[in-house]
This record gives sequence, structure tokens and C-alpha cells, in this order.
Amino acid sequence: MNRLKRKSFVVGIILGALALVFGVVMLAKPSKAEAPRLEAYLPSDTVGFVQVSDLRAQALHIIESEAWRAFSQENQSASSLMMMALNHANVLDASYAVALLGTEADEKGNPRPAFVLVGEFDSETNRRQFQHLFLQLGRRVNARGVESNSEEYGNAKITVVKEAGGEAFTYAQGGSTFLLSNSTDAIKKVLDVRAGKAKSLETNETFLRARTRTASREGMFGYLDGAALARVVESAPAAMSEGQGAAFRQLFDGLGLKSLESVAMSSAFADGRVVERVAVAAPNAEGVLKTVTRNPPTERALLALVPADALQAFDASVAGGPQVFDEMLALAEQASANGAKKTPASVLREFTEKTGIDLRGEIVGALGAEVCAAQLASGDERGGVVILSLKDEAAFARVLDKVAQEKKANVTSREYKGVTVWQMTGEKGHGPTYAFLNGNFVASGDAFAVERVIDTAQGGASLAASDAYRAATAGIEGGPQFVYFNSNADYLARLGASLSNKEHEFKSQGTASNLRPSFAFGVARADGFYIESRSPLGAFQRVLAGMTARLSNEKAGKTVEKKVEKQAGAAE
Amino acid sequence: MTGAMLKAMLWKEWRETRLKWLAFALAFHIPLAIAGLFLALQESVRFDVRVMTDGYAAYVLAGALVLQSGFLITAGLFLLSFFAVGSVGAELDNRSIFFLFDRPVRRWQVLLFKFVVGAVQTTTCVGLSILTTVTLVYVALAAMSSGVTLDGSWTGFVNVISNAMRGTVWTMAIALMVYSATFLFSVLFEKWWIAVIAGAVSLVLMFYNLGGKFFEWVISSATSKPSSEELNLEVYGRLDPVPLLVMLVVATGFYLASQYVFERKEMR
Repeated sequence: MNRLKRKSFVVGIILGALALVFGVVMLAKPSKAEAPRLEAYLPSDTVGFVQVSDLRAQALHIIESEAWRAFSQENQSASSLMMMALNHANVLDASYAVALLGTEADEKGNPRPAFVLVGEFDSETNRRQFQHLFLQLGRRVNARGVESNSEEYGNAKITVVKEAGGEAFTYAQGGSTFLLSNSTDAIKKVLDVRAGKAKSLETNETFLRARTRTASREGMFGYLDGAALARVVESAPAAMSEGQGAAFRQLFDGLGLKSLESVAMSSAFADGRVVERVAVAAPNAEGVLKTVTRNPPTERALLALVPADALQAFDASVAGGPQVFDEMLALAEQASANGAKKTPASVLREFTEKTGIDLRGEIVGALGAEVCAAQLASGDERGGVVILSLKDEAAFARVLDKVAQEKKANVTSREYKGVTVWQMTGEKGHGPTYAFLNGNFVASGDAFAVERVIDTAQGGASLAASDAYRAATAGIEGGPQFVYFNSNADYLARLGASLSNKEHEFKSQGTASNLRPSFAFGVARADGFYIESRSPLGAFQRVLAGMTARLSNEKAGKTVEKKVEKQAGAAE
Repeated sequence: MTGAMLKAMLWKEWRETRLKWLAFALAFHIPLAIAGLFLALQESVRFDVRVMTDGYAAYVLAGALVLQSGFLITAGLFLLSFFAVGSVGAELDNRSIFFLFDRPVRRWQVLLFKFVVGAVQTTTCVGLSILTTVTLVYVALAAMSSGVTLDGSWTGFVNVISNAMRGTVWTMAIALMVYSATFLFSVLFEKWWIAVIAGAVSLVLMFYNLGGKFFEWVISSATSKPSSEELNLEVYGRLDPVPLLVMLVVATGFYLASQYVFERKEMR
């Protein structure tokens, strides 16, 4: 008690407590980059954008992910060094968005998309370091033959950089925000929104609806405004009104893209992997879009023919295939009316005359409601196999005969477990192996793949019955139009190959993994279409690869520059 | 001298120096405290730690060993001299030592106690700081890094800690030698601050001539494999008895000189 009464002791305790509270507040307080709303900087009529929120948080999610942990075990030092290089490249403490604001006419009057990169950093220092160290703006602007002019616009500074007379790029900075664009007007539009002079995308009702459809706004978020896209196509300059431009407009209308309300995409980490969602909103869908959204679900019956150890498999419903074929053909006919030399109908006629095959009647018409493609392994061998459900097996067999005659191929047959396996050998000595199995057509460039499908049909373990597939499909609501399964057995090798560059070398073969399989499905909904996938790193793998490649090139460039400087110095 | 007297003298020495010793022990972990501050306040440092893997952990542990050794044989020796220089001089200055002279103990016994307790305290601090630093770094890595597993990093840790143990013997011998020299100053000068200045000047002169080379030797030995990404811990790999004995002999010489001076010192 006596000690507590001592003044210095009490003062010390109070100071210590204050320091602790200050530290906790500083650590807990979110920075701007951690709480980004980059749509608040974009104009309300933005056509579309993709945003990555708080890159450092995403990098930490990557490090904690199931895939990166396994990858790090295979690439001990290299994985650490690569992440450290990213950490010290001044790119992580920010949120980024790339937006398409519309189109504008270039010097020749042709439409040119106006893109803007928006970077919101957690401090002005980090923004400056990003500009100078990562983008090397100082070096680029001061390069020979480059002219730059700056102007104050509101509370920001805009710099227009020109190369050889033409506008190369424009950038602007204000506080912790950085903007980069191929258009000065686009930059000004964003700055107007930032200054409160124009409405932001946050006030756009379509955007707000789209945002709620993807459930998550963590990680990456993408948005496309259907109406804004249609406006861009309709208001394109005169050059687009003729010839190919008009054909594009007809295609746009025919595909039903005019009826597209919005597309929203999100990509976020959950349970050590990435969940990606795409919501296509088209409540009043027209044209091909309508046909696609009304396509019946796949029965997934063909997956019972795919071996359980398949590396990957894709199964989709093609029940609406003939209708899509007819609509696409009609659309192509319309488009070709604008000066094309050959119409699609005449091309089809020529094909039929040359091969004797009626594409619409004998191939599209003979197909059943489902198609499946899979990649199989046998030891070190890899092979793809296609399985098509058939409505008319005899008609399809006749098509194959005609193809063999046309190609002057030799067709031989043999029995494999009671099933006739055909081998079509062309003039170059190779060709497909195929078989008809339970009313389905099975074909592959590798005989073993067809045999493995036959084995599975005759009681072998199938993918459809496997635990991995069942676990992956457990969360599907409604009948999907397509499903995609990937065992991820070689994911680490693929990741290694995609991340390897001049600076970092990773193992790209011989790295088998026990990662959970990837799975994706697409399902039609009353207001459009919905796609969901679960994979080890999703789109973040590409972001990572892109950033490390950029850093590697930058470093390689610097090394070359230093060498040239040294050589020049030595020569002097 | 009875056992009770021995116990009482030990208790007195411990009682008088324990807080100083605690501060000294903490001061020897200054590099660890600096690293901890960076870790707590710098997000990018935390990120670097989190991305580390088993392979990289061994590299970091080796780095911690080399840095702590470097700290000990440079700044650490200054800290040690400040600790040792107050052993006798301060007590002479505040006259508390005369309390002992009134007891049935001989002068040389008083000095021996002071020397032994101080030497044990300083060398233990110096030696253990290497082991605690490496161990605490390992614990932090295992706790914070997603890629560092106990299974995968244990071999690397054992390798570094076994080198650290040999490093501990070397630094303890050096510390004992410097302690003995500074102890002599403490006996020579009654005013403790004169002893501090004398000790500091001596150390500065020593480092002026040898310190740079000494530090360079540790660092260059650790990084002597240009083709390898790992630090070379060969310098910690063996215990050469000759230099160790030489250092012990020098330390004993300083101690005996202290006894000689103390015995003949006029104290009033």
C-alpha cells in the first residue's frame, strides 16, 4: 500500500496505461486502405470496374490459405522471399480499382475505351513510394522524348504525359489517392466525383442491387452495368455505324446483351480457400441470353462414366443446344448482311457439299442433353476424353464414317471388355479412339482414356460416386446447368509454373498435392444466372503472378540499366 | 569464517546487486527488444515474419545468433564494464564496505565474494542472453509464421542452439576477462565515476584497436560462403582450449592484481 501511495509509481502506471491504450488504438484503427469504398470515387454511369480491397489483407489470406501452406513446404525459401519482395515493393498498403468509364473518340474518330486505375493508399507516403518505386513514374516522365504538363484541378494535381506528340497517359494525385488513365477527361470525371461535384456509383440503384447479389465484398469485387454497356454501344461514333460496327451492334442485340441488367463478381477467402461468385442479372432476358438462362439443368449422368481419379471434369447441359445453334446462325446471317462475302448459310452448304455432313441435322440434332469432358491420368500419362450423350447413335455413327472417308482415314476396331473400340488413323498416322457406350459417344486422342471410361461403366469407381465429388457438390442449391471438378492433384506444379519468373524459381513439376478439389457450378435463376466456385486461390493466383512478374521485369530492367551505365562509365 | 557468515555475505551481495543485475540482464536483450518493437509497430515487419517458412526460419535463427554475438562483444562489453565498475568503488564511495571490515572476515575474502558473485552474475547474463535470444526468436517464429512448423524447423533450431551453446562459452570467457579488468579499476579508484571513465576509456581504446576487426571477424565468418544463402556458423563449431585458457589466465591475473591492490589499499 505504501508503494502505491508513492507519486512516481502512480504516474508511471498512468503513463504506461496511456501508452498501452494509444498502441492498441493505433493498431486497431483501420487505415483507408483497409476500409475502401472505391465505387465512391467512380461516376454513377461507370460501365464496369474490378476492385481489390486492401491488398495486404488479401496477401495475408493467401499466406494462410491451404494452397500456400502446401506450396511453401515445397518451395521453402523461394515462397518467403517472393512474398517479402512484394511486401517491400510498396504495393500492398492500398486498395485498387480498374474501371471502364466509357468510350471516347480518338484523333481519327474511332472509339477508344477510357480506363482509370484508382489506388487508395493508407498514407501519402505509401502513395508516393508506389508512384516512384513501383510505377517508376519519375523515370518514365523524365525519359527522352517525353513531355509532361501539370495542372491543378480541384485539390488534386493532374499531369498529362505525352510521347512523340500523342497522349501517352495521365495521372493525378491528391492526398492518399492516386489515379492513372489513358484519358484526361476520365481522370477529371473521377476527380469531380471525389470532390462531390458529380454523383458516384454508390448512388446507382443497379449497382446497389448487383452488390447484394454476390454476398461478399471482401477481397475482389467486379461489376458490369448492362445499361451503361448498351449506351456505350448505341452512342458509339459514326465510324461504328457502318460495316463491322453495325454487325457488332446486331450481334450485341441478338445475343440479348441489351437486356442484361448487370454482372457482379466477387472473390473472397473463406475456410482457407477462395469462393468466387458471379451473378448475371437479366430479369427480362432476350435473345441468346434468354435461351441460355432457360436451358434445363444437367442430369450429371455422364459423370458416372468418368473414373474417380480424374484430374478434372466438366459436365454441362446442352438440351437447348439446337435452339442456341439456330439463334446464333440467324444472328450471323443478319450480321453478314452488312457486306460480308459469304453468309453463314452458304458456308454451311459448302461444308455439307464437301463432307456430306449436315451439321445441324446430323451432329447438333443427334446430340442428347448432356456433354462431358474430362482429363484422366494413367501413371505419368495424361489424356483428355469427351463423352457426349446421343439422341441418335446411328446418325452420329454415319457422321463419323463420312469424316473418315473425307479424311481418307483408316478405321479399325477391336473388342475391349465386350465393347467395340474404334481407331481412326489418318494419313499422318494418328487419330481419335472412340466407342459407343450405353447410348453415349466416348472419344479421346489416347486409347487408355476410352478404356478407362469403359472400365468405369462396367463397375469401376466413378467420379459421381466418389467422396471428393460428393463433398464438393454438397452445397449446390437447385439443378446446375454445368459443373466443373478439378482434383487439384497438380495444382502446386501449376502454381509454381505461373509464379516462376526471372527473379524467382519455383518447382513446376513433381509436386503432388493433397489439396481439396476445386468445384464450380452455374445455375439458372429467375432473374438471371449464378455461378459459384471454390478453388485454392481463385483469381488471386493471377493477381499474384501479375505483380511478381511486374516486379521481376522492373528489377531485370534496372540491372540492365546499371550494367549499361557501368559499361558507359568504363568506356569514358 | 563460519558457514553462517558465508551465507550472510552471499545474501548481502545478492541483496545489493539483484536489481542492478536484473537491469543488466534486460539490457543484454536490447537487440531482441528492438526487434520486438519493430514487430509490434511495423506492419511490414509482421508480414515478413508471417511469410517465413521452415527453411527460412533456420536462416533467421542463425542471423539472431550472429547479431546477438556481435552485440555482446561490442556494446555488451561496455554494459558489462558499467556493471563491474561499481563493484568495489561504489561501496568505498558510500562507505558501506566498512561495515564488512567490522565483521570477522578478512579483506581478501570480502573481495573474493564480490568478485565471484559479480563474475557469476555477468557471465551468466552474457551467456544466457544468446540462448534466450535464439529461443525467443524461435518461439516467436513458430507462433507467428504460417509456414513454420515445429516438425519442420526443429532440426534447424537444434543446430543453431547447439552452435549458440558453444558461442555462449566463448562470450562468457571474454566477458570474464573484461569483467576482471574492470573490477581492477573498481578497486583502484575509490570514486566509482572515475572508475567508470577509466573503464570506458580502456574499452574504447581496446575497440579502437581490436573491436572493428573482432566484429568484422564474426560477421565475415558468418557470411563466408558467398554461394550459399545460409549463414556459416563454423566459427561457433568448435571450442579451442588454448584461447579459452589464455582468457581465463588473463582474468585470473586481473583478479590477483585486484587482491594485491585491495590488500595494500589505504581505506578510511
